[in-house]
Amino acid sequence: MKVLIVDDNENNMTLLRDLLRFHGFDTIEAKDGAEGIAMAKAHRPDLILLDIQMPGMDGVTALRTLKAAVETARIKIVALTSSAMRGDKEKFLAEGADYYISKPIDTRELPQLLKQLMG
Amino acid sequence: METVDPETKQPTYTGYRAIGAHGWGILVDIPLRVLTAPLRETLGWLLPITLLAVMLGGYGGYRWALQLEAEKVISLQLRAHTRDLAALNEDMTILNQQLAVASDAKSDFLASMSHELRTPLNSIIGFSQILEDGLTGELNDKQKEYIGYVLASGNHLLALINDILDVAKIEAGKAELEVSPFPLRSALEGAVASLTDKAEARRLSLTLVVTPDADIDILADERRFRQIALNLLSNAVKFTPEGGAVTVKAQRFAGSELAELAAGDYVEIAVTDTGIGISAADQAKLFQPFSQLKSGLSKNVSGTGLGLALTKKLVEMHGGAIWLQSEPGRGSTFTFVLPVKSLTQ
Repeated sequence: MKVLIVDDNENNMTLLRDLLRFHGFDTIEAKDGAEGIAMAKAHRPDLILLDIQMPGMDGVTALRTLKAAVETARIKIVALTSSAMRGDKEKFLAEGADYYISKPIDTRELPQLLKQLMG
Repeated sequence: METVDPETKQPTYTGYRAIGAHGWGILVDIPLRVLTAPLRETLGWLLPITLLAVMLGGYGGYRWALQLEAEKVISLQLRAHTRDLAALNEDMTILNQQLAVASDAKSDFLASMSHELRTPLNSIIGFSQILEDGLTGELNDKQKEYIGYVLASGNHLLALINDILDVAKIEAGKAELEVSPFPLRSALEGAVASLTDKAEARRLSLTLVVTPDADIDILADERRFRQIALNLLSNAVKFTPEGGAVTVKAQRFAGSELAELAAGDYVEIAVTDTGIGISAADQAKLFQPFSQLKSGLSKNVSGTGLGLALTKKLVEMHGGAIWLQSEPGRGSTFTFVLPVKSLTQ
């Protein structure tokens, strides 16, 4: 099971990458939305963990682009955000995300959730 | 012809005095004083009256002029005031726009605060959990103990941030209630159930009583309602010594019983404990942010210090009220009421 992690924060990236590897996932990484889209098209991951607040191309734009492109439309996307403002969840789900998680992530729940989503 | 009056030595004048009714008369010498008598008499009363009239007229004119001047001043002032008001109005419009901008800025600030504070917490909590779970290898006892402290502190900090942002959001008017009908009983059962373990660990009895007339659906924000109920319940469990009792009682309440409430139907939820109680002095500051009381048990109990301040705001956002009755050593009862606005009776 291959997961693409898109996050600009190095510590978050290390945390997510190591956590998923400890739980047996393959991971690939991208530092912003544009790189994430290129990686998704090139490597066809089963799932994308997409940070919403990023410099450069933000997560919402990346989310729309990924869901609009034929090659990437079927990839499951989990939106990650640290704002946890009310209404965010509905907004990201409406933009096409398959799931929404607010930071800080629960390292005990996330691997289970990803396994469920990838069925 | 001028002659002299022998008595007064004053000149006399020849005059004509009529005799009888047929135009007959004689020429006589009339002394000056007699001749001028009518004039002097007339002047005697005419002069003061004239003076008086002139004075009154002058005064009237003066008043009139004064009034004209005053009217001119008033009309000028009115015009100035109108201008001021228009300027004030403009200022208010600008101020309103600035306030709206400030409110948006505050909202943006809250969102970015939330983001900035959670990002490092994500690392603190996440890496501690990975270490504690032994994903990187087995920890020794000291390492386990310390990483436990890091994790607990991280979680406490997260709770603080969430509560602070909640209070700030409410104060910025950015918190909105998501109102929907839900059964009061099951919401209270949920709150009680989530504290059963803690209560059992401290050998506390935990009882829920819902009177039949309060076993209804209420129209409120269910998540916020649970937050309110859970806050009061967890406080009661925290501050009640081992072997005590915590009771939740729900019943109907009439809005007319409390001056601050709008008339109508309410539900009352009272959380009673047999805990340490709260002195009258402490009760006054209890609903203020960060007013954790420095007495007795509370030293052993941690919280964010925002729980009750937040709870009060949430209750008031619903159009309800919250209060407490307590006596040190005998326990406390926290009561809140919410409007029913029920769909089913």
